[in-house]
Amino acid sequence: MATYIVIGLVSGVVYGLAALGLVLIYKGSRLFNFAQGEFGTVAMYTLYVLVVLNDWSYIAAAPVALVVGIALGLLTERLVARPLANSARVIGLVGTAGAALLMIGTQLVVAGPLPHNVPGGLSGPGLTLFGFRIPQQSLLTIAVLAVVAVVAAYFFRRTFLGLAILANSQDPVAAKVVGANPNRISQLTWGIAGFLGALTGVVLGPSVDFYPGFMTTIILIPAFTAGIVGGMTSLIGAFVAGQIIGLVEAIGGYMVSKELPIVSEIPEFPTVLVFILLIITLLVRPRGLFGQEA
Amino acid sequence: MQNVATMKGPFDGLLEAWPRKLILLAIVVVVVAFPAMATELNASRYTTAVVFAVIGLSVNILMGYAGQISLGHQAFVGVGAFSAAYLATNTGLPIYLAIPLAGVIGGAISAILGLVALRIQGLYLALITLAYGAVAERSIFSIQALTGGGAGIPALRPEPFVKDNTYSYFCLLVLMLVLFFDWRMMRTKFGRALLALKSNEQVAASFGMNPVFYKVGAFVVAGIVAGIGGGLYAFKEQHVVSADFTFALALTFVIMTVIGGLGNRIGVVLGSAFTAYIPVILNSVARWFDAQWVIPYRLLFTALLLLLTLTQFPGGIAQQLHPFTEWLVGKPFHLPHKKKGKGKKHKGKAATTVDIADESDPEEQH
Repeated sequence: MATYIVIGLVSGVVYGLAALGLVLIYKGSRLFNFAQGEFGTVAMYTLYVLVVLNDWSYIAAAPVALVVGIALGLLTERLVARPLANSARVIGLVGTAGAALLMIGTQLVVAGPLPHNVPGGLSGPGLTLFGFRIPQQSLLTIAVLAVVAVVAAYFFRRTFLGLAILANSQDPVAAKVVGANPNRISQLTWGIAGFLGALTGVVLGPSVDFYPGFMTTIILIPAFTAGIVGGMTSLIGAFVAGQIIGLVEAIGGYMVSKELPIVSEIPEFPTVLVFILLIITLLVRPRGLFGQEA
Repeated sequence: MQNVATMKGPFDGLLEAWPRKLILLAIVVVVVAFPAMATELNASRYTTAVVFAVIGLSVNILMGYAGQISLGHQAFVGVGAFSAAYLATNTGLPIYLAIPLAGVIGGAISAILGLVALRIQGLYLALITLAYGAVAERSIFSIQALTGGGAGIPALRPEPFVKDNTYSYFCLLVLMLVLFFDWRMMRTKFGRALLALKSNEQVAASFGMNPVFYKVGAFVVAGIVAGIGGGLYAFKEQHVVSADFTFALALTFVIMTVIGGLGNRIGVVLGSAFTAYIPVILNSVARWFDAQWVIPYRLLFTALLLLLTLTQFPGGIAQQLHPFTEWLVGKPFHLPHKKKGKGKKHKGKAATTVDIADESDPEEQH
């Protein structure tokens, strides 16, 4: 059980971070950003191109990947989100899905459909907890994401820019009146979202085999679920709900491993469990755990 | 009020503008005669395009008419495909019964999803369909007893549909029926209510339309059509495996509908057929110009097409072809701008007369 909880926590931080990016975009542009996962996958492929094809070190390649992520966020904002700002929201959603497809298509052209991995992550002894060894890269993942959570909390509570983003999401006209340029703020949120996505990709890259569309396949649905369970407008909620989703998945995995009667008949039981959680949340408490708007 | 002398009989004006009618007739003849003369491979591709068109019309009912986004349409289609294959293989039902029954099952399953949709709207609903699609793809379609697990189930075509050429006529007939049904449906109270709900739910409700009923109704109708499309798909492939129904397929369905033009059934048919032909087109380009490098660019190409459509021509192919289609049915050839828009994508400017199907959606309530 302890093993499963640890796995759940590690994937929970990853979901939480992706959910953070989604919530940020939702607050800023009222848009579900389907490209959020691909910011991460592109960062992974940037690492692949630099580390594997050009013999850079992981440490040197990581900042480049982060910059690429920010650039992608800004590009998506300029080329997709802003032109579609006034059309129906479903169209905006299809637009970001198109941006994700564009990135997946680029990955296919650059590196082909087969899985790749990036060497050079931390490979120290790690930490043994409850008799289960947590790899050092996973510890790094948790540490990085914890730092990000704290910085994000500070940024949105205490700095002018952070407050401007929040103000803009609550009342764009009023925010404009007091001098917050909506276009700049939109760029800022997308840039941060790109950075967060790329950060996930960079820390996760060395410990997984990734293929085109990897993050969209693996992380997007749990991250959206986390965003909704957390309330879609609450940054803390997104992060906490990420942990909850990770744990629910882990419990599902644990139940499968115990071969409980009905559970073992259902293929991919953890996925089903997360879906049930999503449905229950939306039916019972649609504004989520931490959502402020009714 | 109308003067007897100006009233039109059924055959008046039949010979007016005859070159246009000849062109229209020629297009119809080529489309209908193609499978009879094509090789089996080409007929098979043609069938795929027709099946995609049926599925596109199903997506269009939800997205174009009712304004509800579906990112789990691969699951709707998959339900139909597995039902048809199961019925044909395990109970020996003939294809004429298996496909309508697949539609019924598809409608029933999507009614359940529609009931969930009652409390959830807009983007949240999109997410529900997305998650439902993922669960169906990974879990439901892998249940050994129903779908044969990963191995899938066969759906063999009976005589006289063993050859792809004849089967494509069967699919074409179904497409015509669906098109006719779609056309008639949008002329009923139900159809108008869907459009009204899409433009403004509160206003529509204040005029006495029950949003609950019409939304679930849209899901059921879309589910039926998707189920039928899935049934056609099953017999087209003759073997259904869960690995076919990925999220990428759902995205393809959404993309082809958007490229075709949301809310415009002819545009959707053209967009779907075109999307089905994209791999064929790229392969041909690769062969003719001896350029194998173009093949991996398929996804990139599709995505670019989608983004260009969304940002430049929100009305899709329907919008781009609008001057030409208007001309074909006898109205003057009116180009909103200088360039010749006929048949060329991304060349002409936006036609102002096309009603773009996505001007507003009701505010979300969550």
